[in-house]
Amino acid sequence: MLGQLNSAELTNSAPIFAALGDRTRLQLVARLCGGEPLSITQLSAGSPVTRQAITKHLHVLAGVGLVHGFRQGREQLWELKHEQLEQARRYLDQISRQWDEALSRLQAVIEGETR
Amino acid sequence: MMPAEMSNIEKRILLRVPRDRVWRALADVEEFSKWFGVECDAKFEPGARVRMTATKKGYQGMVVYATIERMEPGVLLSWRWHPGAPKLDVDYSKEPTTLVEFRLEDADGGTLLTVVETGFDQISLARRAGVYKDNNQGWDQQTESLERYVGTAK
Repeated sequence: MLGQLNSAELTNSAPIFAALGDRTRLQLVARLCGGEPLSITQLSAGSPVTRQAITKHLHVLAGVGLVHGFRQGREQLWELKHEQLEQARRYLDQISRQWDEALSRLQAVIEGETR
Repeated sequence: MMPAEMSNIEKRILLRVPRDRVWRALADVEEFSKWFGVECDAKFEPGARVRMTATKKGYQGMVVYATIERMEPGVLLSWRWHPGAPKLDVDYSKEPTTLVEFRLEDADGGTLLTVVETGFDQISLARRAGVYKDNNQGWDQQTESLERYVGTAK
């Protein structure tokens, strides 16, 4: 039923950064960063975490719109939704840049007085 | 991308003036307003809810509220607010805030100012997407105007 998750609705209220604040979930996102959709088997390979736990984590990530699950033949595959991750990153970059600019102005004002 | 990087912003800048001078630029609302590019309706004091209205062309009238938390002269100023540019049709009263801290310490040749903004892990994606769009234009114009102000104030 994953494909039918209302990701738009969930995305609107879900804290995406909180979803990423978990080591296993972050690793899942990192693995999916390659761009190719992966199965649960592939995603849990080499991981000490059980398949069930991995599935649970994927659902959390899907809930904030970071990953998308779909069926291909008999397999359930997962892929990263890059635009969501990019949006989150851009948001922080933006705020970060604003602070750089504000602090440059502060510097210009108070250091300018002594010149 | 690490979790810490996704939830905090930290900036450091060395200012070649004494600590009390930096403190005044932060804590004196008139001085603060000039470099931050806003008009404030109240003095900074712990517990005060300060309405900051942007004064710059293209950004005029944009309002943010900062609730001052701590003021330790020469050491620390902090407030809570909703980060970025607000949208008129959104009620922010129930939304989580971020904490902004200005920390001052003596450094070789002046004062080291550290700004830390924390709590982004609680801000929803919908809110952040809006912030991004709104701010993109506004801050560019604001920066230009401030450069003009600094140029004429000397």
